[in-house]
Amino acid sequence: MFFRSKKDHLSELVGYAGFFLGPDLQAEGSVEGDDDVFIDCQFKGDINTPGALEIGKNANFEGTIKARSVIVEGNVKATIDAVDEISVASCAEITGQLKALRIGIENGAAVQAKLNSGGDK
Amino acid sequence: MYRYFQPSSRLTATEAKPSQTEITDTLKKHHIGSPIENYENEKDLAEKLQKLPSSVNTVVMIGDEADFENLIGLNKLLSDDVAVGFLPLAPSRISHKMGLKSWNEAIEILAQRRISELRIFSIGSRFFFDQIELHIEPVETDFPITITTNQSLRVRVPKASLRFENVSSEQFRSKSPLQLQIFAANEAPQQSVALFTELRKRIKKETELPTSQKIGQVYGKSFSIESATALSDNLNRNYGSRVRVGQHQKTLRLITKRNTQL
Repeated sequence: MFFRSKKDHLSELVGYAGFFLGPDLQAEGSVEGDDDVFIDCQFKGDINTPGALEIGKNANFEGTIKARSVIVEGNVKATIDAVDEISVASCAEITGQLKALRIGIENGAAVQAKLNSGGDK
Repeated sequence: MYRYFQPSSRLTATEAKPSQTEITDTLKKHHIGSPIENYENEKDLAEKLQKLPSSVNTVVMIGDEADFENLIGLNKLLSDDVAVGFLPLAPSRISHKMGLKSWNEAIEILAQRRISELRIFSIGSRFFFDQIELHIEPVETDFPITITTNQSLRVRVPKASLRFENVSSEQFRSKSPLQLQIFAANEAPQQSVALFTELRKRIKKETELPTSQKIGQVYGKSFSIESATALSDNLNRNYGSRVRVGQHQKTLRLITKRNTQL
């Protein structure tokens, strides 16, 4: 299993230098990031970043995602296109389409999605 | 030709702060002597800046960080070829960033007149180049603030304080040179908020927020802020309930120490 250890999650990084929206916020629209993005709130829209994206446990996300790598811990209804990998945590609920070089899904995750991984990218 | 400004409220010399005579003498020694004009408030300063003769190519604020921010805020009143300098009477975040360790050293640096062209940001009709905080008056609404970025991202925010910071010196921030940090403010009892606001008024300088839990961090070129109540900044200046914060075409010609990265 290549799922990253918890301390590697963006949300665990001290001082978090990138873009982040915490649980107290509500957002809609698009994010064109320069770097890593952490979403942990209600969000409807599109995210496009050359960096990593984490959808936190408190998140309720609906939209499209393009990122280098994606970690999903919250509730997500989305089309996700990652260059490297998509990691779905056990607490995640996800519907939609996932496309990445590697896709990892932890036991317990609720996934109803079309998966496309490996060389067929 | 240099022109110096100092708020009347900062005239008292202490052990740590020099008198106006000491400053004037040191300026003369470095061949950049000129009378120091005193002003009462921001409006008074604005009037004096508007009356500057065209021979003045350098305007210097003598005072603390808030006084310097006042001068930057009024940058629109200065013509494009005028350089701005700071002679700090006390160490501060900005003086540290500009490499000014003491008022004596600041005078040496002013005399060298090494100019950095800096990207400047506007908030309403004012300017800032480093950072600025916005606060809202107490309100019962759940999401009193709506932030819209230049990328059409709309963020609804509970009671909070907002801090904008110029991060354009970070090379990879070309798409998003302005950082917005959102701090929760709803945990502070109203009494504390009132006390804190009063304290801010008195000391007229940036202090840490009463509760500094960061609940969001967003980057962009510009932001529109709409609030259910009036917005005011860390210098207690009012912006009404709607304000735009963003990059401005005008650049700031700032006198800094050599090799200073702002």
